[in-house]
Amino acid sequence: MIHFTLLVIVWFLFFGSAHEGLATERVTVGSKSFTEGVILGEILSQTLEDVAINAKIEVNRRLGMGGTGILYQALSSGEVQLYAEYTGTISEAILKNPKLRSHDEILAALKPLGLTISNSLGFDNSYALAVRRKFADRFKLKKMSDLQNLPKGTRFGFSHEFSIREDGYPALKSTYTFPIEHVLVAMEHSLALEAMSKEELDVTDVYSTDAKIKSMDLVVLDDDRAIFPKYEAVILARIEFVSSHPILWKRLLELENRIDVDKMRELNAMVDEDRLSFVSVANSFLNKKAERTSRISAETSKLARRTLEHLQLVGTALLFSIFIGIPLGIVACEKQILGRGILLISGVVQTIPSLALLCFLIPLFGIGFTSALVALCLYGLLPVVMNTFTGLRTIDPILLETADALGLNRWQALMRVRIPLASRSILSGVKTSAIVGIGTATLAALIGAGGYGATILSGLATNDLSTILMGAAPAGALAVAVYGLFEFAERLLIPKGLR
Amino acid sequence: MQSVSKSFGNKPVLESINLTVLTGQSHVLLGSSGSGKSTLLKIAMGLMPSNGGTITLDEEHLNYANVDARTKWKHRLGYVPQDGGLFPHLTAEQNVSLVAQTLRWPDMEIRKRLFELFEIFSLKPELMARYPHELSGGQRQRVAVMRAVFLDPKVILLDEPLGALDPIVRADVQSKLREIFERLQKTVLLVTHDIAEAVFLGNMLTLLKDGRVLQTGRIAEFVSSPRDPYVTQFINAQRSWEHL
Repeated sequence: MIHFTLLVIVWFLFFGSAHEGLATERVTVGSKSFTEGVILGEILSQTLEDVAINAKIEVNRRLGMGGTGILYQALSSGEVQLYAEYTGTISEAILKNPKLRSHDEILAALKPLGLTISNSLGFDNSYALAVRRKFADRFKLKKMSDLQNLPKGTRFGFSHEFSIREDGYPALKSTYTFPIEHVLVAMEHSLALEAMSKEELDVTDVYSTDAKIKSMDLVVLDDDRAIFPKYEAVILARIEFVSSHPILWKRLLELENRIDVDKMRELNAMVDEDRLSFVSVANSFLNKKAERTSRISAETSKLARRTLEHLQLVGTALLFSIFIGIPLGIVACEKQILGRGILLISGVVQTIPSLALLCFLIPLFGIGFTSALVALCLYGLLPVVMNTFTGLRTIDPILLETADALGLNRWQALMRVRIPLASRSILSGVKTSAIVGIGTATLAALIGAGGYGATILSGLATNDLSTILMGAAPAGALAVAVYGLFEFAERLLIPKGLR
Repeated sequence: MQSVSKSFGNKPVLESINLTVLTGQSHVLLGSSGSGKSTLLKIAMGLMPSNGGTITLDEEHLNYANVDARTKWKHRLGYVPQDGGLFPHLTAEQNVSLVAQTLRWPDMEIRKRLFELFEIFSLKPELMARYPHELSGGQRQRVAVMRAVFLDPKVILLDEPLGALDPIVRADVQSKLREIFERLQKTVLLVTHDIAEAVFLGNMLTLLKDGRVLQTGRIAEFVSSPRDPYVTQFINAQRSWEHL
C-alpha cells in the first residue's frame, strides 16, 4: 500500500504539472483535422505569433481536432479563440440555417452567439465538377452549362455525399442539362479520382481546392448558375477575443483575400504530394526563411512528446480506474441494489461512442487533456469494476465463512482474505483497462489532447500511411510493453499459493 | 444451549434444542443430512443468528447483535469448517497465525505459540512454509485444527472436518485428532454423520433428527436403551463387513 501511494505521488510530481502551463495570457487557435484545415490553422498561428511575442501572449495550437461539432463547442466555451471555417459550414452546421448565404447575413446571425467572422481569405472551397484537360478541350468545356455538349455515353461518377446532398447531385440534375445514362454514384472520393486518372471516368465531383486538381491537371467547370453554396474560407473568432486583442485581430485580417483558390491547391499539394510539414508550408506561404522539413521528420521530432502525452493520459486514467474501480467493484459486490446500478452505469458508459462522450464532456471540462482524461477514466472503469466484482463473487463461500469464524472484521476479511483471493481477477481487469486505454487514448487527439492519436489523425487527414504508422506502431508497441509489465506485476502481486 | 430454534423462511430447521456440553468433554452431534446439526454448530459459533434461545459459555451469553461481543466470542471458540477451509493464498504458518497477527500479537509470542503447537500436532516446521495445495489431505486437516486452537480457545467446533478424505487417510487422521484432543484437553463439539467416527472421537453423543434432539448419551446407552426407533435404525445403518 505504501508503495502504491508513493507511486501516485511520484506520478503526479512527474506528470501532474506538465499541463498546467505558464500563467501568461494565451490565445488558442483550433483547426479541423483535414489537410487544408491544419494548414490554415498553422498560418493563423504563425501570423499571430509574430505580434503576440511582443504582447507577451502565448499562442497555443489545437490543430487537427475532430470536426465542426467539437470545434464549435470549444469556441463557445472559450477554450479556442479562433479557427478557419467555411461560410457554408457556418450556416449549415453552426447556425443550422442553410438559407443564410451572404457574408453579412451570417455575420449578423453569429453576433448573438458572441462570434464574428473575417472577410473571405480569398478562396471558396465548395463542390465543383472536374474533367481531364484533354476531355475539356475536346468538348469545349469551361462552365457547367457546357455539359449539354457532352455526347451520350459520357461516364459520370460522384462521391456518396455529393449524390445524396440536396445541394449536390439533385440540384445539379434539376438545373443543368446533360446526358445522364451512365451515372456511377456512391464512390469513395479517392477512388473516383483514381478512376479519372485511368480514364475510366469522365466527370466527377471535387472540392475546389483539392490538391489533385493541380497534380492530375484537371479542369474545374465554372458553376455559372450558382447551384453550389459558397464555402468561402473565413476566420471564425470569439467577439471577446476581437475586442480584447484588436492588434492581433487586425494582423489576422491582413490575411483576407491573400489566398486564392490556386494558392490553396498549391499549399494542399505541398502537404499531400510533396509531404512537407504543415509548419514548413505555412512558413513558405508567409515568406519566412526557415528550413523546410518533411512531415515525417516533423512527426519524428514530436515522438517523445507524443509518447509522454500518451503515457500521461493512459497512466492517469489507469490510476483512477484502480482507485475508483476497485472500491466500486467491492461496493457492487456488497450492496445488492446499489451494486446493480454501478454495474449497469459502468456498462452503459462503455456503449457511448467515444466521439459522442468527448462532445458531452467538452462543456464540462473544456477541450484537451481534462476531457480526454475523464473519458478515458470512464472507459477504463468497467473492466476493473466488473473483474473486481466477479473476483469477489466467485470466492469459495467456505473460505468466507472461515474468515468470519476466525473473528476477522469486515476490513480484515477484505484486505487479508477477499482481495488476495480475487487478486488474479482484479489484476486482469486492470490489465484489460490499461490495454484498452492505450487504444482509446489515440482518440484523445480529436479534442486536441495530443498523444499518438495526433500523429495518426495527421496521417489520416493527409492520406499518408507512413505517418499513420508512426502513430499506430508506437501505440501498439506500448500495448505490448504494458502487457509484459503486467505479466511481471502478476508475479509480484498475486500470492504464490494462487499461481 | 437452551431452547435454540432456527428456521429458514417458514421451514423450521431447529426446534427448541437443549444441549449441555461439559468442560473437557468430546461431544459429537450425529444425524443425517438435513437434521440441522451443521446449522446448530454455526449458531453456536456466532456465524448466524438463532430465532430464539440462549447459548452460554462459562455463564456468558452469546450476544449476536453486538458485533464486538460476537468477535470476542469467536476468539474464545475455535472453528474447523468442512474440508478445513485453509486460505489457499497463505502458507500453512500464515494460515495458523493469521488471527494472532490481526490481533497484533508480538512476533515473539506468535513464534512461541507456533512451536508449542508444532510439538502437539507433530507437524514439522518446514511443512508449515508450504501452501495448502502442497500439503496432503491429512496434513491440511491438522493445520486447520491448529489454526482453530491458536488463540487457546475454550471449545473447538468441527463441522464434518474429515468428510473429504479417503478412508485410509481418514482413519489415520482420526487417530491423530483423538491424540491431539487428548493432549489439548479442550472441550470439543464435532459434527459428523459417521457413527464409527463419532464413537472413536467422542465420549458423548447427541443424535438429531429433523431439528430435534432424539437422544443424548454414551454409545452404550444408545444401544441398550434407545429413546426412539430411529436411534437404533441410525446405529444399525452402518454396515459392518462381518455381516456380509
